Amino acid sequence: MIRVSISILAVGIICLLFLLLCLAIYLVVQRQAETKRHKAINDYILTEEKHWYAYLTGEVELSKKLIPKSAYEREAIEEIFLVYMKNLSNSFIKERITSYAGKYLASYYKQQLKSFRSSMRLNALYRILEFDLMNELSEQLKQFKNRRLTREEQFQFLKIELQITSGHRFIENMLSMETVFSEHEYRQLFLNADSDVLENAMEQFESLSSLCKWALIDAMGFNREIVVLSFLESLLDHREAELRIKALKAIYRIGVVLELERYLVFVTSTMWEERLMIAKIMENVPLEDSILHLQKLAQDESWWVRSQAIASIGEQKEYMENDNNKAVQDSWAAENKMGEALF
Amino acid sequence: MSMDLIIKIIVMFLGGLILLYMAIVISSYSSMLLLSVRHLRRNYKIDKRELDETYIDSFYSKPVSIIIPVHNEEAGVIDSISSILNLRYPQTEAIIVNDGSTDETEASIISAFRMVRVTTKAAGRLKTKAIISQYRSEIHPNLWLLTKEQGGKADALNAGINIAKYPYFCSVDGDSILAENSLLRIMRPIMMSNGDVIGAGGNVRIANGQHIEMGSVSQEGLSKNTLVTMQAAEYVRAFLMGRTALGLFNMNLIISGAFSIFSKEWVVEAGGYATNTIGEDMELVVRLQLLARRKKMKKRIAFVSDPICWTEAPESVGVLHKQRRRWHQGLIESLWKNRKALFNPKYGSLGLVAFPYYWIVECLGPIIELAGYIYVVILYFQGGLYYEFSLLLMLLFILYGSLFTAASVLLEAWSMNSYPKTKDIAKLFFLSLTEVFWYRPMTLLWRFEGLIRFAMGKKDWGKMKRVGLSRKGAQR
Repeated sequence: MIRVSISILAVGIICLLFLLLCLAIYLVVQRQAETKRHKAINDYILTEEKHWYAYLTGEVELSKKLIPKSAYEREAIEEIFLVYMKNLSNSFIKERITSYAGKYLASYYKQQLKSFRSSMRLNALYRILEFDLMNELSEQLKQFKNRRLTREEQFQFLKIELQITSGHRFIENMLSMETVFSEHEYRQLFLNADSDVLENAMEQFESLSSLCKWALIDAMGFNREIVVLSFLESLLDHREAELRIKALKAIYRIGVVLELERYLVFVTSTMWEERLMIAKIMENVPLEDSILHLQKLAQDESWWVRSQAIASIGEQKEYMENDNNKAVQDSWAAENKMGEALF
Repeated sequence: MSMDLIIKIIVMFLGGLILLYMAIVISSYSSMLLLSVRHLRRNYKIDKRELDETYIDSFYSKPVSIIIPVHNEEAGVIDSISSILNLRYPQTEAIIVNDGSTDETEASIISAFRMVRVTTKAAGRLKTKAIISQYRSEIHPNLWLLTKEQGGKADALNAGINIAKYPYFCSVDGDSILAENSLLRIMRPIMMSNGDVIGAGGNVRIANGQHIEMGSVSQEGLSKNTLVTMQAAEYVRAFLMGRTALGLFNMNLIISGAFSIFSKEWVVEAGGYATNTIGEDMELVVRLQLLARRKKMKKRIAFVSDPICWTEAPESVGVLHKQRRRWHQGLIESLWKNRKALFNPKYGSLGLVAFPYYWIVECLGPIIELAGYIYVVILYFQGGLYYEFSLLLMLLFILYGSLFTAASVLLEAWSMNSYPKTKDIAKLFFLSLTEVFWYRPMTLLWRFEGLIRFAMGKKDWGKMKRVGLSRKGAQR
């Protein structure tokens, strides 16, 4: 039997009790502080939102009352600014916010960028981007880049770089990063990129990772700029099927078909996803040019291709009545295999 | 050898075994606590609204089919469906699967959401009981109701999967309420992972005692029912400590069936939910994990602490008894069914760490802990040397049984802040300290009973009386 003296046990119990007491005190104090903080922020917003409206819309000039004197006021002002930035596109209001933030909030964000807590640094990066403080904090941002950053910080920093660096440098920086982001993150970047960045991305297309390529093509389709059409068409001969399918999808989204002959090879593609995409693209082609191909696709072995071809023709009812049995039988197999590419 | 000596040897051996078990459990729980503290503290002050705003755009997200299996849920189903329709998410469809309800569940849904009958879709890839009818809402075109022969929750989910058109589906219990941003947040690891995350579970909280109107929690607080409050503390420990830590290493074998999301393709490939088991949600997760390992693909099941699902907890000892017995039985069934993974290096950390943990700590724990309680009491009255040892064990039980739960309340304060009032957090904390003296022995007995029922091959569920979570039904 283990010999344990009562005194050791007593010490153990006292230590435990002390730990629990500290925990209890911390929880109570922390909760009270949080409650007080929330109340102070809400009270400020309620009492000052009218004055902020008047200032931001230019009715009045800045008064001393609107300069933050405490952390609560600063947080409340951030809340107010975020609502305006997210819901309004008025450039005057945005300039006022940026100007104010540059004078009275930038020093706080400067401090936060040096914080040992990554959550505080990340929040600072969010605000710098939202309030457009990249110029005021350019030196701090340069130094910040050399720190060891979390993945989220690196991504947020890339979003900031997107606004302040040239297209060529941005792509170079992105390629030099060890961190691999998700396709969705790359998509966010490209969707918010200007034409300079996109042109550089196209020039260095083969150096990009697969995820980056897919994201770039998706963003092009979403943006619907005709200028990228020739680039997308050049991808139709790419060896990677996923790129071809994404390029077709982007072309479909753009909605312009200049030379139908360029696409006809996909009518007889061995991949049902490509045949589906060409059936969709033919929605944007005059029927007299596309009808023969669509009629062929309407007899396709894949239910998805057939139904899309029919939709493109616009004679859905007549064809569906004849096709119903075959559609029902293989619709589930096709639907569940539809894959990520179509979403 | 004298009788006294034999007894002494047996007592020593049992004492050593219990001590060894406590050491394993305390070191596991301590590791989990430290990992969770580190993870949650790091994300404590991050402004999560920034990420919500990003993913609210349909271009950045993936569409989700939300499947809600219901059986005799007339008390709370409208609130649950309303919470689904209130979700901030760009593209969803909601599929209510009425699994042979005999009350007014179907009628109330049809009436509340103006459902009209539509042509029933053909059978899908998963076998289910017969579909009787299908309805679509006139006011919410993405809301469907499928009525089928009763086949159990797993069967209902499989039926929902069959008609789901999106690549991901979210399973939500019929008595659960989702917070507005839940779906955005639970989808985030999936969106960020390039398809590596094939399933994710959210955080489940006790809804009893909350003010709920039209599917939204309008005022957060604790129930006045001590049993419910104790469950709230337990949930905080299980989710914020246990699942957070295990999720960091992709070793979660359980994500809550009340609120989870999966890749439809992977689930169909795994064979859908098993209809012949009690813990179908856990069993599916285990099968998905093993399938990914067998295919040598780096797929993960994530746990996300942000998104909240409010669910109804048992308010009486009788119902809680049946629930815990069923959960434990389901756990053992699932582990037993996949026992080949135990200590099997082919399954990596899953086989070498996760499975042993679940077997030793979660599954067989009730036997050893119950024996420990009895042992401590017997030793105490033996006096002499045994008295000190029994005190030591008692101390360890308190540490194991209560301290970790109390510490988990801290994690709650750092993450979801579901209990904003100081008195609620204090109540949660101090009640959790009493866990070892009444709640834990009670649940240990029920879990032990679940173990016996598994050994005897019993399969019935037991019924839980629903009161509904809306203003009318909630009890404080």
